[in-house]
Amino acid sequence: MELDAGWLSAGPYRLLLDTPGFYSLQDRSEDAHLVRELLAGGQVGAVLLVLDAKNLARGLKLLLELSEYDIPLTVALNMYDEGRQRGVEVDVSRLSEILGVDVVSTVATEGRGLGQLRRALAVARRPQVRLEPAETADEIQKLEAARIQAEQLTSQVMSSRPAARATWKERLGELSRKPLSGIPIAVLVLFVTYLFVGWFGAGVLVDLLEVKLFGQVILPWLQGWIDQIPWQWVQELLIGDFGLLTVGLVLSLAIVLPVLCTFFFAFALMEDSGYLPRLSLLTDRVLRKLGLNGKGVLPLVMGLSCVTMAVLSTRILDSRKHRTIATLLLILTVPCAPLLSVMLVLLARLSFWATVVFFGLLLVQFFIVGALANLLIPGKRPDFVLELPPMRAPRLKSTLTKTGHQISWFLKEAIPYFLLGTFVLFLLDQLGALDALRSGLQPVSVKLLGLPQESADVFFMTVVRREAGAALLAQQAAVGMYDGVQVVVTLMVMTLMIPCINSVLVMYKERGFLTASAILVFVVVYSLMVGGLLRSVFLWLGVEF
Amino acid sequence: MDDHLRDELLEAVWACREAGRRELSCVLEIAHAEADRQDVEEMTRMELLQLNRDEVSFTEQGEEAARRIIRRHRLAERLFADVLGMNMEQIEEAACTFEHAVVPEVTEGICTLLGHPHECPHGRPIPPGKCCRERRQEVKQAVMPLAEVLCGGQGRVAYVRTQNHDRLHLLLSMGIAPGTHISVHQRTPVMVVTVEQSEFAMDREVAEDVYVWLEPKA
Repeated sequence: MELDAGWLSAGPYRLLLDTPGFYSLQDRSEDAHLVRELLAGGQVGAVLLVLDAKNLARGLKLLLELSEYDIPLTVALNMYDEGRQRGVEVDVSRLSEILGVDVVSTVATEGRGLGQLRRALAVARRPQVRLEPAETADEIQKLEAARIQAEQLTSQVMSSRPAARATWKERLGELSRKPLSGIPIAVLVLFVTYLFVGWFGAGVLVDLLEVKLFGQVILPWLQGWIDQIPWQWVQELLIGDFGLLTVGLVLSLAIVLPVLCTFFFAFALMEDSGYLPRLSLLTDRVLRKLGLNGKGVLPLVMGLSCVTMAVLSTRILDSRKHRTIATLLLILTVPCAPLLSVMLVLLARLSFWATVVFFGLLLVQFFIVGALANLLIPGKRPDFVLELPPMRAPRLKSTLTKTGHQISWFLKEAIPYFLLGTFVLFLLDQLGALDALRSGLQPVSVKLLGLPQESADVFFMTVVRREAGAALLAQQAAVGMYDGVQVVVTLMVMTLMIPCINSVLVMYKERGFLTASAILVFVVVYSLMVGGLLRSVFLWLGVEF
Repeated sequence: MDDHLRDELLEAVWACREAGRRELSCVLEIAHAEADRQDVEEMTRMELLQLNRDEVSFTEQGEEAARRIIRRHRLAERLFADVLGMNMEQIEEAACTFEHAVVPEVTEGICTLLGHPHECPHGRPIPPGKCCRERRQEVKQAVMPLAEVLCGGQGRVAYVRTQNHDRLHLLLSMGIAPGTHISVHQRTPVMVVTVEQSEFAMDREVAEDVYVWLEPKA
């Protein structure tokens, strides 16, 4: 598990680590375990405890647990405005007096109280309150004792009056979690997101970057320089069919980056507004049938943008079983935004029914494979309990900052994989192994799937990056090599087949060798079998698109 | 004569009567306190008991008083056995103390909480009270699983079932513990509840384990 870190200047403290959120140090989650180890490790100089002002008792329980570690503390009483709006008033100076540490009320999204917080952190002190020694070894009873003590502390400093009238944000939050209004809202949100990511990001921006910027400006300029290099193989390595620059860098910077930028931005908006947990709860019941729970919707939605990123984001799920099922569904059935955009263009050239049949079949497979995986993969389904934060208007600045963090993380994390993948293909190509693979693929493509010989190229490109495969298919189809059924069959196999080398590498990194290999073998065999079956059924029914 | 001795004797007479016996010796033997014939005679002067040679019986007033004590005692036994999970020996001792200490409103509350039980854990009948007669038609009980609370319902957490340790742990650490205020806003596709100031979504299964003491709507 990696922690977000940042530099700061607050008294003797320089490095700030952001731990995952949790409710109690005694939690059995991996997150709480990690934090316990961190605290016990002796490296932590001070703790900045960020509490929810409207749930003071819960926060003070955590503070009491933390006091056991005898580490200096400063408390940020965050979301102070929301607490007041709900009629919760905390006597901050009295609380500070009782605890013996500085307590600062903050509204982090607006930057309020942060300067004071920094000064307070510089002089963090050990709390003078302590968890009352428990007479029992029973964890539950200890937890209960801590809670009661925290409540006594809270009652000394907190007063509450009736909450102000429900705001429009609260009403919006309510509408978006009730099925009748929530489902149309979810459809609308997903549609707008798709327009922004799929049309604007994958269409307009990619066109601008790949064709205009890279294709017409950067690559021709580089070409001029590279032509000066005397060694042929270096030229090939940089700008050949599998050149590090022409394929590796263009794919990652010009095709994937714009899609990810728009997706991360849309995702950050959904996160910051508090919408995502509401989407989770609406989908919980459906996803339970697939062995997931409501939290599973997050990686699956992300998969519609980039499967590689989505596989990484399965970390947010609570159990190994969840992560395995989500990874399988992502790799097998979820088309990413770049593929979707090419796919929609191809399907639009066929009859309307081609689109309906294609996505209908994909959806059916999504549910069947998910339900079977739920039966076959061992492990129990963890409880679904999710706090719904209040809805709030996102601040553009903090949403952009968050998007920026994720993008820079992507650049560091994923670009090496893009370059590595391209480099491996370059080596294969140079060694002549690529041609051997191409002819080796033909029995499958021609005999099993009933496709033209040239489709082997498409599948091979698909393995590298599936939207590149789709783009090649579009080129080949444009010159009349494929009929309607062949296009649908190819697109289906392409979608079901592994998305790209990067997603496979990330899957191995996240799921481990055994699970990842099992998924890989299943996906390849399954996609070819379904392709063959689909072709036979279409032929038998005499379908033409 | 003190109240404790009086209550014990009334209880003893009731118990003998249930066993189909009326002799003074039976009453004195069963009573949990040191008592003799003089005490019983004193109670006849208080118009609680009648003593006819060696046979003891209630006056109308005495029978009513005994019924209330027996009712409190046996309800207490049920409470200790069902809700607090105490064993039979602990129950007996605790119930003996309890029966003297409870005011009528609390007795009714406990009876309703337990769903108007008919028998004590030993299988002896619990005399019905006013609440039983009035609410016999009413299906609603004072305490029910959170999963069964309707939208708009609210109350305080009575207890969290302890079968599933991980779940209990999760709920407690989130602040869902006995005494916390909880209200239900939505039941499908999952439960949405407010606990103190926070909104939570949870599976129906999880909500089955949280028992809520319902409060009338504000």
